[in-house]
Amino acid sequence: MRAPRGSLVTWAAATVVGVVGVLAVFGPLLTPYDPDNGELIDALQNPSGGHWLGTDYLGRDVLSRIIAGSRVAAVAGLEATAVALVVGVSIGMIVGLAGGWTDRIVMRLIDGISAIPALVLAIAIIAALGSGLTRSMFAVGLAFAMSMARLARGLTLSERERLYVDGARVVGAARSRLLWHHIAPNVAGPIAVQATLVFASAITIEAGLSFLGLGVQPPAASWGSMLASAQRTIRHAPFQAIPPGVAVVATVLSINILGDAVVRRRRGDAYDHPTGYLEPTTIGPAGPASGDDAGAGGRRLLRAAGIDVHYGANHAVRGADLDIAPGEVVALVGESGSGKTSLAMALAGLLTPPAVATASEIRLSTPDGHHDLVGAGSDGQRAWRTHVGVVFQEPSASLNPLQTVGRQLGDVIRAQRRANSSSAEPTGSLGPAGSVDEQVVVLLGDVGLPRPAEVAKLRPGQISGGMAQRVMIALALAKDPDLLVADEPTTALDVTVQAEIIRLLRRLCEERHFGVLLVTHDLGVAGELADHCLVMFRGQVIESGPIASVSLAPTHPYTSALVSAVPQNEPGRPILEPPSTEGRVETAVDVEIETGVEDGEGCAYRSRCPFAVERCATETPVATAVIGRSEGERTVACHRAEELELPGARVVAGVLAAPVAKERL
Amino acid sequence: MTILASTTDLTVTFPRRRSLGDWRPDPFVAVDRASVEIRAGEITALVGESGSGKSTLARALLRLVDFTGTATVDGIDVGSLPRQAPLDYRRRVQAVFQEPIQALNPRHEVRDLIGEPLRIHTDLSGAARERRVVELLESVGLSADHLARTSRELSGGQRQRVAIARAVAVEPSLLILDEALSALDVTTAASVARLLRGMLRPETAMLFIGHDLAVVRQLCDRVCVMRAGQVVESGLADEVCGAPQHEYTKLLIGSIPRLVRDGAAQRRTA
Repeated sequence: MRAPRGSLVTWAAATVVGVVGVLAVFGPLLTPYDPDNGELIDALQNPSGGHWLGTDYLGRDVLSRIIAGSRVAAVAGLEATAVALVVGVSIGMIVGLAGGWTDRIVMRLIDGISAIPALVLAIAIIAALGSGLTRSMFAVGLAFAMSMARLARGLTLSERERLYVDGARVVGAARSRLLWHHIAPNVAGPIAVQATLVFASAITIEAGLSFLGLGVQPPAASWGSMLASAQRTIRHAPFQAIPPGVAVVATVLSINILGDAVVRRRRGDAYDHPTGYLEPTTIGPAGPASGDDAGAGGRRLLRAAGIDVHYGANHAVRGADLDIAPGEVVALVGESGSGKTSLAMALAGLLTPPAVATASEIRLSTPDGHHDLVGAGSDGQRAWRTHVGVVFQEPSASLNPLQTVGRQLGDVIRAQRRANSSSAEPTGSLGPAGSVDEQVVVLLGDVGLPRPAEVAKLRPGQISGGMAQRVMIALALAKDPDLLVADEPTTALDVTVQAEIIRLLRRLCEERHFGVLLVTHDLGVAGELADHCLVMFRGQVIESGPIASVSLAPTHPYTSALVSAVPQNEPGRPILEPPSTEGRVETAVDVEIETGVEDGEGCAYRSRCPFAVERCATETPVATAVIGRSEGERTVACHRAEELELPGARVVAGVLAAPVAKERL
Repeated sequence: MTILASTTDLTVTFPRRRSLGDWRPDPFVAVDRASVEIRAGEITALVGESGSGKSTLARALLRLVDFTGTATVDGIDVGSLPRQAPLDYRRRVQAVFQEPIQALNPRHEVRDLIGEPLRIHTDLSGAARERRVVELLESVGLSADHLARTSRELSGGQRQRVAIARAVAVEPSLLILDEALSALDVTTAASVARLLRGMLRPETAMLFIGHDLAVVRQLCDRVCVMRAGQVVESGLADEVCGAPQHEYTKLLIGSIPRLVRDGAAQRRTA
């Protein structure tokens, strides 16, 4: 929809710029007449077969003069842009890197010069140096160099703070190397876009100066001087003004469109969705749920079966099944790229394009009935989301920095009340009793914030990361959710704060009896918080079961590797011991997680697995119940699960089992 | 063992932003009279939470920030060096940062990333430099196949390996690891930790900066616990983590999540 139209305009613009470029380079070979000399007898003719665009007041061919003028315009644009780039970018980057007093003094000077319009500055310099194209374009270039310097300085200032610049300093790179080798390539994009704007403006200014007689001197042709001569004879030959006018407008417009296209390509989707908001995708139906039917349906809160998520060719989640009981914490554990977040967002109804999801069943059973997500439209999805609270990894990024915490929480409470009253089924504890403000304070108190009434008046920038995460949890609680999806809720926090948040979530889960889906890469966090866990690898749930049972006695080689890699506070150096290899040489490299490579046969883990046999390459293992476990539902997807004896977690004697900082809860 | 680097009463302050009604605010003390010893042949850890000043102390040793007090590395007085420190000093102290995607220039290929310190510090010819880059890549478990990739085309663990190869290219005596394992998956972090431990030589030392005492206990020999800019406890890693003395260290250790929590095996949901 957008792409063809955008590209059509872009192609047209590129064609115009291309034609002007060709005319500028090969103009003298293409002009049908001498652009600078004509027969007075032929003066002021209208377009005809001999003179396609007519002749001017001296009988010169207008088409030939337009072609000759394109070279003048191109040279003018190039000269001004080159001056602006060389002068502006050098000054900007150097003062940007130097900072301090140099920066302040130079920038004030630049501010002063920028206050004079480019055209006026050019006229002043011409007044001092005399007229002529080269001099006037040099002046225009200097004027534009000021805005270029300001842009380059701003970009350099922000790049200077980036870690790679420190990295280069530490390696010993000198200042000039920092500037030209490290920073310049990273600021080139925006500067190139600015350069196209300068180029276009320089063409208009050249036309303006020549129109005034300050630029190209007669008899040489320029679009501006052609307009001036057309103006003199506008009553006798009004057509004369059109060709140079069209030439200027079309060229400048096309260059600007091309510059815009460059911006569009650099920013990608963000350009078309400036707020970053995408309507979530709906989840389509897949085949009927395989295997066991709703046997334990009575105590199930969430039942999800056969979930698949694709991002284009990348199969991010492969047929995942998942059950959550009320009051139960289920952890999705895996490395980055394992598909755990995609699965969780599918269950929260928050997957956004380009993700495509299908499932056999996703059903939430709440006291007021069953809710299905599969096949639900956007209304159904909205209804689903009123039952599901979500807590994200970066609390400060998820809160609006300009609104107070209390206002954001109040908005959610009001929206929830509207949703409840429209569905005409008042739900239990959080009925319309009490004002919104009172409920804000109650909720902030519930998540363990001291002096909640004061916290409600603060903005996100005024509270710590741990407090912000508590506010995020309060926002999720405001919906009185039946299911809480927590995506890496403690990853961005300090360890002591992490321990507090874990205790808070555990307490809330016991008090309110909602289900929690915890997404984490940290088996330790899962161990402290979850009851049940699903270990994911490349989109597949490769092992599941009660968390302690899985950690202590893993049956999948990947789970075993994961468990033994988690550092524990114990003597010795177990994580530094090479993992079990069974005769295979350990490859030092973590095998790259190649996304979307093989959708074919075989176990996804086989390239890293020390126990892989031929069968693993030909046959994809499916999740089967683990034999010989009395503890209940444990599944594993491994051909050799039964024969392998894998090491599990070492139970670490609590150095300090007593929980600290309890007073915060 | 000999002390390779040390700081005495090292203090780093940053000016606070001026605000209305407070034109001359007191400076913010990021590191407060910290004294740390780093011994040759060992990995010393600086542990603390965000804002504890551990990274700032490392940046002082890298001569990236100004400080008062004294710091010496290999007998060189760091405080007397100019901000644009001489190459001889740069060669002795190198660093690996937390986020390799940010710490490696996104526009450069692996060949240039690892070749850059060689280009700056040695006069190897182009071909000899490339041979050395491949050697370095192999020493961190990568291969010549990775030469032409940019950091975006590598996985997290591979990026960190490239960062390590770049840092050890000039054979520094002190390697600073600023949260070098924090952004990695556990299995990757463990293999990078093995790599780092294997690179330690009797005459070199590493300063590991982190927040997780469990990692520190398994990877490092000594540890200094920092809080609000001050070193509150230091000693052998096994002793500090096994029998912490300071309340804050106890709090940090009590906060380490365990794989199996007390009574978890018995607890069943109702």
